[in-house]
Amino acid sequence: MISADSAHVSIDVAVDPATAFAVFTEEIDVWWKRGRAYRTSDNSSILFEPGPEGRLVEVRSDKGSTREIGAVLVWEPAHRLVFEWKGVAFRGEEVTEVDVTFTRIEGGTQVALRHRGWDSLPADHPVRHGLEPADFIRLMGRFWAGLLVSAKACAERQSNDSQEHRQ
Amino acid sequence: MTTRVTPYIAVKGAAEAIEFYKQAFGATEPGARITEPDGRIGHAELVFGDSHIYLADEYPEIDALGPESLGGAGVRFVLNVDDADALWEQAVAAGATAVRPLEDQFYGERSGMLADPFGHRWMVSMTLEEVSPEEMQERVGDRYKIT
Repeated sequence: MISADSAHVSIDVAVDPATAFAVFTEEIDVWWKRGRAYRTSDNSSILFEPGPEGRLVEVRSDKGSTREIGAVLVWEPAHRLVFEWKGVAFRGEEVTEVDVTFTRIEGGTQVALRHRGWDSLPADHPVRHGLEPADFIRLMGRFWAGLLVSAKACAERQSNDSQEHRQ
Repeated sequence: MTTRVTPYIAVKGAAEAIEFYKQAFGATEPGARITEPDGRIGHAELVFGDSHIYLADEYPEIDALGPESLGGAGVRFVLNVDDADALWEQAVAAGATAVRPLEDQFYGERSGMLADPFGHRWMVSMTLEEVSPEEMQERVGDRYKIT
């Protein structure tokens, strides 16, 4: 049987790796999509508490509450970011991992994201919405693809804006 | 309401094909590429000028097969460009092979047909002149009846 442990999505972005990393981490609330598939509330913010000891959180301004999505495991600006991912439906010690690399390519950066650890969750886990493991991984691929397209647009928009300011 | 048609092609060896289309035809890949756990590319998007193509590896389990497996493709692509000779040379250098040479055609186009290493076919074409139906009829003489 083919493993369905990880979803793997990549995208080329026309900014340098340092900018790509900065936008990914500092501007995540700008490019993270809104709506039920992405946030628990329209009044929530998705934020990185930055640094190697940091974490990814969802802050509910209406409730004044903070939900930890996961701790930062690797924080290497311009190179690599790894963080834990605990979905809303995760129980106890259940956790997955998101590993993002930023590689310089001609004209910009290739951002490659791998969300792994899904094999550690049972086949009937509620997060899978009843999908077969392979179909669930496809769904996660599409989830991240949509987010990376949004992040790319955010990074390239900022890059264009700053170039205009310099001119 | 907007309607747009986007070809979604299956290719055996999608990752190599994407590199080939970039080198041969100057395609770009602005969107996200989804790679499945088994290594197959589940989805990619290529842009040629203002045209988009979706592309994935073969998925026999859903009858998504490429030309190599099918024994030919039922669809050809037409690349309308400003400089057919330059693109032709670039594509051949990248590994495309000529099926029909690049030639001036009686209907005012300069065109030829290429096969890519994955079995898809691409007509490279540029417009040389607008030819009226009467002029076209004159050029082909009695070979065809055009109008």
